[in-house]
Amino acid sequence: MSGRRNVQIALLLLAAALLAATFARPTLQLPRQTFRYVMVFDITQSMNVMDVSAAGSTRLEYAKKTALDALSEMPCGTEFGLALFTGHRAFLLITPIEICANYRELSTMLSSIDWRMTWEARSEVAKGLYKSLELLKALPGQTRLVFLTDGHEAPPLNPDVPPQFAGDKGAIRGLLVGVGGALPVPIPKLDEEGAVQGVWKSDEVMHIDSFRAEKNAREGKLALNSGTEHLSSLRETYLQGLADNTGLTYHRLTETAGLSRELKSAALAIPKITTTDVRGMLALAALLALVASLVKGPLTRGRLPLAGGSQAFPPLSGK
Amino acid sequence: MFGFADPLGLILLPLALLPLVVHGQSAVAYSSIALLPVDRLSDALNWILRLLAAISVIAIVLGISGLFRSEESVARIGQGAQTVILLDSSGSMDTPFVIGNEKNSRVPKWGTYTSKGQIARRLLAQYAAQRTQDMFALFLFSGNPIPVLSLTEKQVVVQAAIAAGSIERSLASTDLGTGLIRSLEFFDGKAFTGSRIVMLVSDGAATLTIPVQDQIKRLLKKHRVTLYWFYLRTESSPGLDTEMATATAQQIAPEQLVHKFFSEMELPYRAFPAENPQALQQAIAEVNKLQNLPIRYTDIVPKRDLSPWCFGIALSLLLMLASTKFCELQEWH
Repeated sequence: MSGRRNVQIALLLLAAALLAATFARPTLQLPRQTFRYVMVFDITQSMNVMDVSAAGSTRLEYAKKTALDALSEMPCGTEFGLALFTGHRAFLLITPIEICANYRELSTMLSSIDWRMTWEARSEVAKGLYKSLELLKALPGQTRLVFLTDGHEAPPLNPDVPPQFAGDKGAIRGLLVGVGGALPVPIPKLDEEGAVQGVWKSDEVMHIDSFRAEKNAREGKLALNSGTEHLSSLRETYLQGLADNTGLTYHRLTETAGLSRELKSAALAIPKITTTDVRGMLALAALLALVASLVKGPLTRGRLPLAGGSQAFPPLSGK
Repeated sequence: MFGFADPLGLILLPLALLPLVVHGQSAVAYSSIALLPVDRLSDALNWILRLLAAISVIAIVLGISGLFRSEESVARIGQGAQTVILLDSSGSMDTPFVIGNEKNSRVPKWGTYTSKGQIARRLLAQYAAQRTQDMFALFLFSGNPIPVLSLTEKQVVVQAAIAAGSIERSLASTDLGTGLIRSLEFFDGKAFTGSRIVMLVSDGAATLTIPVQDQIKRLLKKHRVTLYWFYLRTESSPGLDTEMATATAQQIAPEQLVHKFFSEMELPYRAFPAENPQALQQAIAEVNKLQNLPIRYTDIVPKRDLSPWCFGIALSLLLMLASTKFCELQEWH
């Protein structure tokens, strides 16, 4: 009997000691997987095509929404930066910041990304991708790239001299995310307010690269104004090739869960020594000790000696 | 408002029922319990001890789940302002200052010098870092306006946004008018808590049409904004105040006409021409002084971790329980 009581007291005191230890704010230095990304959004006009799985949504809107949803599912401590791609380069809007503490700002910034922020009416995807990799290399610390695009090069590339990737393959890891549908569809022309004003016609866009176009003009050949460059689809094979050249992982954007899985993949995680608060663990141990001390006493089988209440016989003597 | 950092921990909460089911007290052999009189005091004591045990379980579980009081906004009187930084991101901002960049070759190679844009961003970052009570927004203008960050009091975000543009080169052209008009939209629907500033950092060379001028004037007045122009002079520009005929100015120094328009608006405006990093630094320091009028601002009381309180309460209850254990009878003669 007395042994049981002593065990109970010991357990209670152990629980108390563990709780007291939490006030010393104990921490552990633990290796942990963290994530740090810069998301680059293609804001060129082909991204205004509405051919994504979400009805009534442009490629850009869909990319933004899916990216924000996937970002929200990342663990706290993850850092995200945002950048735009148009012309032949990426422009960094914000260096990576922690997502939980700064969620309001990040989500506002991401949502306000707009095709009207463009600074050049060209879409040189390969160069933009290479420039983005250079940009990330210039950032302090390790950062992974997420480049969301439909792969539509405008004007088209000269097949003889495609842009060469001069960086180290795989030096910057990340995702090349393909957005859009498989069938070529017309690209809408939007006015300043974002209202659709018709579509780009075959004779309004370049169907061959500028070098050959100028050569043709010099040689007096007729300008080529027919082709399929006024239509846009997700150039998946092209993007897969770019991903292979640069050491990125190609991912086709179809749903949040898919992107989220890729973003959380161990291959893109950055190992980091983080300071972990272990008060919770101490308190959990204290809770176990307290519970153990309770169960260590006799279980409620039969009557409790002190329970009072209904009794088989009335008491012999009262007070 | 309260919240939990680790709400998952709350699944442990049913454990609080355990002391109500299990009494946890030493049992004593006795021939017939029915013979005992009802003792109200013992009954009460029994339930008090069980309740204390239950409360300690609850307290520990709340502590494990990271109970906190959410951040609160409190209105305070202090020094602060709502500042929109309107930063020229055109290619000319990539060039070095007129004076002050040493060792620059005739065609400066990007990366070998600090550009006007980079110096401006560095000084603005320092300014923002000093003014922790201010709210900042960042707006870039190039061919098209790029609203980067709307008004926020979070230093980390402000610093990250200002730093971002220093890493690579700036963009192409300049459209000052649209940039200025769109940047004033940041004040839409925001409570007027004191001084409002637009810090225009630009090297000029822009023409404002009459309708654009009217709109700028109307918006500045509507939002009660003070306009400061940090004018980073390019080598070829004669500056803001040289005597010049309007037609000539239009040709060679459109920024003079912009300055003239701003000055004649009859609205708070000041230009700070800067030819070198030191002058820009002085100009920014002067704004820092000018903007020290008391204003009403919203202070954020950060969220407060309440788990130490939970653990503290549980700890004292456990000590009480342990000491009552000592008083328990082991045998009953």
